[in-house]
Amino acid sequence: MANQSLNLLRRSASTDVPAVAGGAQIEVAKLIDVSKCIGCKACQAACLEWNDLREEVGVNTGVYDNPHDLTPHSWTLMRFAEWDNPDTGNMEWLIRKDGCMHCSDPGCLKACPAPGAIVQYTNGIVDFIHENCIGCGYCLKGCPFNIPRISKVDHKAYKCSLCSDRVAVGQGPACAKACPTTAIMFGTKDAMKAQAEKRIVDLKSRGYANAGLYDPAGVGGTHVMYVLHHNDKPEIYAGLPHEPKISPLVAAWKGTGKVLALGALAFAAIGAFVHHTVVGANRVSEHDEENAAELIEATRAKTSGGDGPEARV
Amino acid sequence: MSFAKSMWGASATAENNWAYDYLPKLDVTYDVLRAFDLMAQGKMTGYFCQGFNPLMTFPDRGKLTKGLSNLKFLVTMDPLETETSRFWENHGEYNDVKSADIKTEVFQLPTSCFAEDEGSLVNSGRWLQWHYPGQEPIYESKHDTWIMAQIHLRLKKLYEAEGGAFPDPITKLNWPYADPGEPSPMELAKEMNGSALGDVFDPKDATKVIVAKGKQLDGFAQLRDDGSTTSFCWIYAGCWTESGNNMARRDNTDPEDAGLAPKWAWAWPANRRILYNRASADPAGKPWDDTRKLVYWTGEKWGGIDVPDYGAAFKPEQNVGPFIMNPEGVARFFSRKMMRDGPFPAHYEPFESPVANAVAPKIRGNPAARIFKADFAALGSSDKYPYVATSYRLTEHFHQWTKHNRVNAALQPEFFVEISEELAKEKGITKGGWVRVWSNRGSIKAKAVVTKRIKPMMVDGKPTHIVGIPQHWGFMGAAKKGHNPNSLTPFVGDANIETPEYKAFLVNIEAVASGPIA
Ligand code: SF4
Repeated sequence: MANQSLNLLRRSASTDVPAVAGGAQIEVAKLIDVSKCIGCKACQAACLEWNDLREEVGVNTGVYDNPHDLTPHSWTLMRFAEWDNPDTGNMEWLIRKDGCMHCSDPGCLKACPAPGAIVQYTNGIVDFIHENCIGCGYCLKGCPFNIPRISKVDHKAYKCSLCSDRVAVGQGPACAKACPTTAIMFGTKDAMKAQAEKRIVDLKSRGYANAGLYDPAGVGGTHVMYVLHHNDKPEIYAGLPHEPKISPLVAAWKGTGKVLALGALAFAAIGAFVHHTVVGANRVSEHDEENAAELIEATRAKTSGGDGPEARV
Repeated sequence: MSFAKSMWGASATAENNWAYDYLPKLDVTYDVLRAFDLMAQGKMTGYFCQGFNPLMTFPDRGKLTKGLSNLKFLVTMDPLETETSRFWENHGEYNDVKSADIKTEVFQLPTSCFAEDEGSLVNSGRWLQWHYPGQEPIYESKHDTWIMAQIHLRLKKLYEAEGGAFPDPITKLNWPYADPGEPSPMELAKEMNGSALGDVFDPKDATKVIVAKGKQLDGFAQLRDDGSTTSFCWIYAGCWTESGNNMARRDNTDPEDAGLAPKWAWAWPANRRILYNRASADPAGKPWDDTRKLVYWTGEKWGGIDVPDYGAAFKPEQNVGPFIMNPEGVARFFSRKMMRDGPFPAHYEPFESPVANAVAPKIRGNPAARIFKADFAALGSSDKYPYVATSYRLTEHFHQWTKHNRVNAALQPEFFVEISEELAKEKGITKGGWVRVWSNRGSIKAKAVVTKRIKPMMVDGKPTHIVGIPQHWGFMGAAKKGHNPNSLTPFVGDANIETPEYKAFLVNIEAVASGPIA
């Protein structure tokens, strides 16, 4: 269930988010200073430990990245890039901690057809509520950063929660706690921007003229931000998108959002429409579509009672 | 004398020269390379291996396996299933031994891990920091103290029953613990510190008792050479005094804001945090830097937040140098006799190098280094082994421990070697493909990481390629089974402390179709 200590701002496939009780929370952010990262993967280890996840013991494929991609268990991953800087002739080892960016305008949440499977708290954290997830994979379609992964075991979507459970009790995320170089910092979004500003001044003084903060406007800014030495070329950091935007298909879908209240049948229809238009990358089968419809029915039935915690959010 | 009293108590007397003859004397240094050389020759027949994994961590695995196979018995004490304790087990190409031919009897004693122990850890700043166990030892594992006590008590019984050439050092060992079967960390720490066996008097006033009989000593200045004090190691005197366990102190107050908290844990010797701290003040006794005041002359004596490493009453005008351990009182840029290849450091090439020594081209390696005859014969040269290899560690793993942990194993799962794009091209090696790497001593297979981070170097005018070999895999644990650089490394000890020459040796490399067969 959604974290009861954090106030909700948004909820997937719902028009009925209650007014925030107890006032708005301050926006938080994680700042990842790529220029300070040594690629030790302590953050990856801390993520697995705190969230009690166990990754498969894989193989070496000729690079340091392990596992080779985000998985339902690995919600964060160090991506290593060896970049020849044409201006200096130096090779730069660019190591980027990949994971959910916690967008202010979350494409996953917009794309999600299951009520309450994705929520955004007023502090900015975007959280997946697994009991409401129907495993359709639309969040992945909606994500401009290609982050969520669907479990083959329970067919639910997983990604970084920004340790919403820790944040709710005043702690920073586990990765930030573990990082030996303080390349990962956590605080209010304003404080993190101020921290980034100092680092950028320092990097510029060291010859990184294009050092900057990655907080892309296309998704309304993010609650995970990067300090990049080459902010003019985010793509050299293992393909960080230059100008991330939510897919127009998701936006089109949101345009028909009002019909959501019409119920499960309409959902299935919209689902099928979206499925057709984005087919290719989408691995959702017709069978899954039927499942989705059934699950939504079931969820609706369960939450319509009105007094359970699910109903409250 | 205090050490002898700690070891043999009432049995160390003036009459028996304070049991000096009970102490074994070294004819040569018994470093690990010597120990394994003796095993390989059949001259060392029993080995206790406590908390280390020589089969993976010492050079020339072929020789190590031969040595272990020659033993009558091997005892391993470790929280993990080490490769050393399973050296006799066949793991296909990863440990290709004929188990039936190995007669060594192996006793594998599972120990608790550090987080299950109480005791002190000493850091490189010489602080002894006390820690408490996070949990009880799991399954059948036991604290090292329990295991060692049990071995001692059983040996003692055998010596008492059967005599032997010289049983006294064992049978008379001081063993004053409440539970002889398991001395407690507290008892051991207090014994390290030392106590007064009789009243200890003021050296300036023989009528004045400064430590009463039975009390813990305050520091090494109270040690006496008449048998009236005991201390297991003089530098630790002061760690557990009558005021309690100083190592467990957790007051991080930094009174001068100098980055020094004198009441956090305890530092040997005498809780002195900075050695030769007199040098932090100018000749007149005034701190060189007002923001880092360690010790200074108050007008009467030396004061400050640190314990002066200096005579407390040496007046500045007496001109006693701050480096009180050197007769000239000042620091030295060279070592007069402490280094075998001193006084000035000179550069010699490794024993296996693609180029000759610059200073003595006819000599191989450092003439003061130690290499046994058979190992010298096992050196290769660059005509057959044209590439320079080096071994190192990765951030994801700690030695061979963390490969037993599923989380670390997943982060760096499989053994690899690293080469430059240039060498990969030259040898037809692909990223993620299998390679074989071999030296004059052994052969291994690994995945290839082809990287821009390694570049060919120009050495003596010749482009020289490097093969980087990380050191974390073996045939036990949660990670993928793998080889290890020490199948290849040479059995050379450095000139001063016999550290093996892991960091530079010669190899050859080729692409192969597939990996080892387990
Ligand atoms: S823990 Fe910090 S330094 Fe290590 S890989 Fe993660 S971000 Fe980089």
